[in-house]
Amino acid sequence: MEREKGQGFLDAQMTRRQFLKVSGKSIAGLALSASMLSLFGCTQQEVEQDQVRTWAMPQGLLVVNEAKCTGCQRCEINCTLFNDGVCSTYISRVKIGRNLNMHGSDGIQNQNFVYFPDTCRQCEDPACGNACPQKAIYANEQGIKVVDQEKCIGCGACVEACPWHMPTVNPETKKSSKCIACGACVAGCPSGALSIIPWDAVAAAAQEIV
Amino acid sequence: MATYGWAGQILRINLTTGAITTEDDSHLQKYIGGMGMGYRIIYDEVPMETRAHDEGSKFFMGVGPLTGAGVPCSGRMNISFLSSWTKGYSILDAHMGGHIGPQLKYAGYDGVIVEGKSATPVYIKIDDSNVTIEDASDMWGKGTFEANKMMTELCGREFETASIGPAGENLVNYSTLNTSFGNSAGAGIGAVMGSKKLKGIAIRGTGSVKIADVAELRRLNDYMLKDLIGANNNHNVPAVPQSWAEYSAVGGKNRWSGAPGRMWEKAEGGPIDTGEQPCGDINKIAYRCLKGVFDNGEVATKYIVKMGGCSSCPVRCYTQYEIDVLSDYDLPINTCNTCMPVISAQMFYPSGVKDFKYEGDGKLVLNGAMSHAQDDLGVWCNYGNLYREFNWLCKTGKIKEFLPEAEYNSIPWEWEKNCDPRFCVEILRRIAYKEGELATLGEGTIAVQEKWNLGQEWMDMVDSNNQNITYNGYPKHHGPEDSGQIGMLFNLMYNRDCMIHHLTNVENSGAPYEVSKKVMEGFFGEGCYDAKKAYTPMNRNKAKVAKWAFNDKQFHDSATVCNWMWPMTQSPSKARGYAGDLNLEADFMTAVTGVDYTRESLEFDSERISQMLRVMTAISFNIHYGATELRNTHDAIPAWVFDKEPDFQAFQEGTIKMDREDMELAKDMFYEEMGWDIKTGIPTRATLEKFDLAEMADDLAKRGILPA
Amino acid sequence: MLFGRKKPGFMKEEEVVGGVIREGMSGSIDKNGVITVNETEESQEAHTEGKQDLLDYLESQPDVEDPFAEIVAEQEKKEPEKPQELTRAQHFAEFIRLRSGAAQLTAYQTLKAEDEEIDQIIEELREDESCQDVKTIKGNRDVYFYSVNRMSDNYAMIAMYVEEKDLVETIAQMVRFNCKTYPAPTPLTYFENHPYFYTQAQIERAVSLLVEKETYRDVHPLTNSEGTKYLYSDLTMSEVYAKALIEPDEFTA
Repeated sequence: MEREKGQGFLDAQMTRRQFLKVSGKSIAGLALSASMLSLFGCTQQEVEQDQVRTWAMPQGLLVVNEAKCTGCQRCEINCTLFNDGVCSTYISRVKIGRNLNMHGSDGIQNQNFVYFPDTCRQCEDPACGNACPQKAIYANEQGIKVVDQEKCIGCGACVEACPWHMPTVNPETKKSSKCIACGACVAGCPSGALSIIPWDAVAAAAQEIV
Repeated sequence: MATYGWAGQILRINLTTGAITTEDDSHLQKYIGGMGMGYRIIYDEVPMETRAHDEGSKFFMGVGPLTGAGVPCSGRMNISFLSSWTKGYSILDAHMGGHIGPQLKYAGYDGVIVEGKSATPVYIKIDDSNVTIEDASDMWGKGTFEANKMMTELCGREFETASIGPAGENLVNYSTLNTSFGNSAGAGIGAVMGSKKLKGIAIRGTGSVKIADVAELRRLNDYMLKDLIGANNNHNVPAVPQSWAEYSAVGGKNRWSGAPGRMWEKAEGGPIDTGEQPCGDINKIAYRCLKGVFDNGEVATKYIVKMGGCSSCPVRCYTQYEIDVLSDYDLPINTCNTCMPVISAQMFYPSGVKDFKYEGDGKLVLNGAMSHAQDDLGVWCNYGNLYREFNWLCKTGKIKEFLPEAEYNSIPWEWEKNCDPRFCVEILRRIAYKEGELATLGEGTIAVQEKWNLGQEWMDMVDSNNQNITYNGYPKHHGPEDSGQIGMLFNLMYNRDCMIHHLTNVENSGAPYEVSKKVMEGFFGEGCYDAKKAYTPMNRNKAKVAKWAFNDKQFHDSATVCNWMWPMTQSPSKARGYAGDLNLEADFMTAVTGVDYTRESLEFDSERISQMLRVMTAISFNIHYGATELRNTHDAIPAWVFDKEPDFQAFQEGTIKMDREDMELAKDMFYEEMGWDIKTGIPTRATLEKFDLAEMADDLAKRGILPA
Repeated sequence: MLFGRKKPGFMKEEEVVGGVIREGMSGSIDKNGVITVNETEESQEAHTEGKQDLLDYLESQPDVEDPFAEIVAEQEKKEPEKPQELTRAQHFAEFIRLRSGAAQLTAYQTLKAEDEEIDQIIEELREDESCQDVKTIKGNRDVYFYSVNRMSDNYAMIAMYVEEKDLVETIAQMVRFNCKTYPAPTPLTYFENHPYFYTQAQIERAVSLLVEKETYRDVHPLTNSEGTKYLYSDLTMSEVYAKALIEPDEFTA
């Protein structure tokens, strides 16, 4: 396939703008080139079976490969150690524990091995932020929506509003927290189920296909 | 009081009165947690005369300062109680991984004391500080998988659950408590809970474990995962050559079995190649252990979906299979386990195994069926003695002799002949429901010996099915085959199989002997480490190694961290000369708790637990047999250990047979190292006082068994 | 490197051309009868028929707001990239490192065929401080380059044997090496795995040739009580010890 029109991936910024269009959405109906699959560390079959999702983040493309998740909870551990200075599963901004046992008809209590981490979608138009009565959720200097700990009153409106219930009100601090895209979960994922691919690498892979 | 690491309180639940209280545990923190706290509590609260299923019997479900603190491989829970099936009915532990241990910490508890008996089936629900005793009538009679699911549905999907199966309900000694998928605590805890009509426990914790020095903890995590950790059993060399690695484990006992071309073939979305997993690359550690291949051969990859395991552990040793052929027998196809139940099913098929779908898959398919059934029924195997004894009964024809004819004929032997996976399931079912004479197997090795009048010679005989390492009713768990006298010594110390992996982890790591020897001698001095099946006479440094392993195991079950992974004795790093870091446990303890630990101070605290174990064992043997010493009773070694392999002399290259005199010397040296009286093997007053256990010395004195 | 990326040449699929090993060639292995390694890019194309390419799809979609634009631009200003000019020797070293990272040696003959100036480049490389990680290993047929930063010496030895495709020599040398180094007898199945990927038939044939040859008379076959076949070398291991080591431990998990 000729990619003469592939002008949209010449650099990191252009590539990011392209991937923002499918951030968090299914890419199951699409075909990925060999170099893109190689970069994502997945197969076309995994894409087709909707095992792979991508999220555009400032530092790169977050790729979540559900089939690779082994349920070890190190993402939750690293999230809370980095962000909260304590170790916990409930207040983690990435969530695997709750999916491990039972989610829908899946999970080990349903006698299968389908489980994977939920990650914050970093919505462009965030339901969590919109629902906050204190306007405590704002975009930080990284462009990531974060919770202003001063303003937050721990009412839980963000938790309810998020379709995936990703923010959590910490019962100990009575403050809400949500993912700030720090990458601690990715850095410590022992199976690469979570990975962040730098934008220049994505751009390079995109240009390779001719 | 809540501090760093420890939650600061324990929960007490009385099933007779329904009283639920909490207690500050500051005074117990010198016992670390888990096993250590458990021993102190049981000793203080349960008279050693008590039998396991009595109303006065209690159990302590404990975690420790590192549980749920983010330390790698810290997902375990320890349960201490009095034995119902070993000689002496003394103190022992059951242990389990999964995800429930950390939840207990997040709920705000270092442990739970369960006492009394309920009149009707109940389960315990712990939702942070909201603790209730709930009705479990609907769950009674159900398998563990269904019971855990029911609790999850009732309580919520964020709850971690554990339940006993029919075996526990029916007070079968070989019974477990099961959590997650294939994780279980054994040693008869199922029946102890069953005797209290306690079906299970469901825990959710929304809190956290507080860390004294988070930056240091994160640094240690990074250091451990990059420079120290290997694969399962901390094997530090891959089984198959990898381009970055200097060595590979040619010998084949190694569990770093992930390799280029070996796949999770049934992964959602198609096969995933486990590839290379270089030292230093955190994001590939989960592919290092492809335990299925170690357990059941190359063919296992055909059925592997992915690897699972315990909370916080990057080494995934639980193979998650989809064994579709089992549906032909109306058996569950998704199975997962990592211990004896997933390597031993062929023992139920003395006529041999056959292939199902692929060449060589017979053992694996049977193991899939067996492990699932065993976990569902909540049957324990006593580290394989259950299978060995069944196999022995069949191979010798004794089964015909011991079973009534009608019962013998009611066993579906055609399934055994046809290699039908339902055969092992049916045998296990009979054991779980205590059906017939055959169910004696589930009452324990001692019960088998006594009921069928097998005598001491049965435990002395040279026969591969006889792995009894003492006369107390349990087999060896990595003994002389890995580490000569060292392995023998710590196998004698407990009231169940020892579960110490310190030495097998090094011996079977796959690293060249000279490389491992340098590492071990660097830690423990010359002559402490022998080559496989080429061991040398006993020496002082070996006694020191045995003491280190013995004490450190107590630390693991108290902290709690996994003894299959810890300690970090070796490393996959060439730059480190393959040496691990034995200070790491203390360093983690310091970072998490803020208490200043050194390797020496931590071993001291761990040794306190070893001393309690020894005292309680001595008391039990005194109560039940009038024994005044342990050396020739509890610590007696069956003859087969010395008489096997008649073509060899001890110490010849090629054998692991032991020498009687040399083992007596080994006991002398080990007892000395432990501060025990050499003649009796019982701790002296001086030793006990050194560990602030003077009251235990008084107790021994009162019973007339304190060494003079 | 991300796990699971299909590095070119890393995953090998074997294909046996025209039967297995034939005798002849003065006892060596018939070249045509040995292994052909197809270094395939995993053929994903089969699944993608009729589907729109991801990148085409992305381009066809309307633009969305880029909330990160300014920040990232700011950051890039702060860290200006300093591209360093590499010499041709350094480029060559990079190439070797890349291939070593993908578990591959680089054969001198192949380089020679592609670049006439290779000898000069190699000389420059030898003199460049920054390229001292590049080493060579010599086989019977060729010399191979690898980077010790990415590949261990022992693996380079294994890879060299695999490259040279002399199964009898490979098996004999590795059996000797394993007996001396670990010490451990070598199960025949060892050669079915990465990076050898020999078939059972190939191994059995090679072993039957091996035991006939005078050069390898120190190498002996053994079978354990479970029927698993091994080889050991009596240069460094006694038969008694070898027999003991190949027996499985008594039933442990």
